Amino acid sequence: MTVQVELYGRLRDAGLGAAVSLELPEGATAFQALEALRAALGPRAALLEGAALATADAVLSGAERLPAAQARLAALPPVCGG
Amino acid sequence: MKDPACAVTEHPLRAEELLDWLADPAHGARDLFLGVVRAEHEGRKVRAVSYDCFKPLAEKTLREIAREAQERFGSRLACAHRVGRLEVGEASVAIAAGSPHRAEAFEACRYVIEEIKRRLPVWKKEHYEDGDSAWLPGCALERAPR
Repeated sequence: MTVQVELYGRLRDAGLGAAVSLELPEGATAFQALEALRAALGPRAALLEGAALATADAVLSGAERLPAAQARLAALPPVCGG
Repeated sequence: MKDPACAVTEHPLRAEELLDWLADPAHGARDLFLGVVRAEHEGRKVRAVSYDCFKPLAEKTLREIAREAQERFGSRLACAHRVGRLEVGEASVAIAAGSPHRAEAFEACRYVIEEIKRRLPVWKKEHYEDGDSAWLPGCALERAPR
């Protein structure tokens, strides 16, 4: 399946634009998606350190399966609001 | 208790509106916390800060944090976080709490700002006087218990 992952914070400077398409096996987990993103980042993979995958509703644990293909997915580096 | 008023917005924050929203004759305290863009960070002169966010999750998380504060401290909350580019001196976050007595209002504001820093999907990029810019480090997000 193909999933679209939005990029935020420092990941916006990774040279991949605002979002990236990833090819993943059916039933893939958040961990697998992050690993695919790590590969897509190549030499800039360190930008993914401490990042989590999230939907519009919640941060996903690594073992959680990705939601339906139409759901928004985002890669979120460590946060620093306020 | 009434739901908190929360917003993640591109528009300048209006602290007076948050305080007015809290008006309650049973309250003897209204506390307001403002986070503002500082002109210096770790020895570097800052011109502006850009705030990025994953808006749907940021709005939901801000509301959850404010509800938690209302339940913990018995205060009413109104809070807003700004996104986009802000110049030095502009408010990036505003938190207002109303309660019968001052201690709960102070504690509720403190709770909300600390949880925002730990949980809200928002990121800061500082723009320096020398033309350089940098994303700031932060706290890794964890999956919330369900």
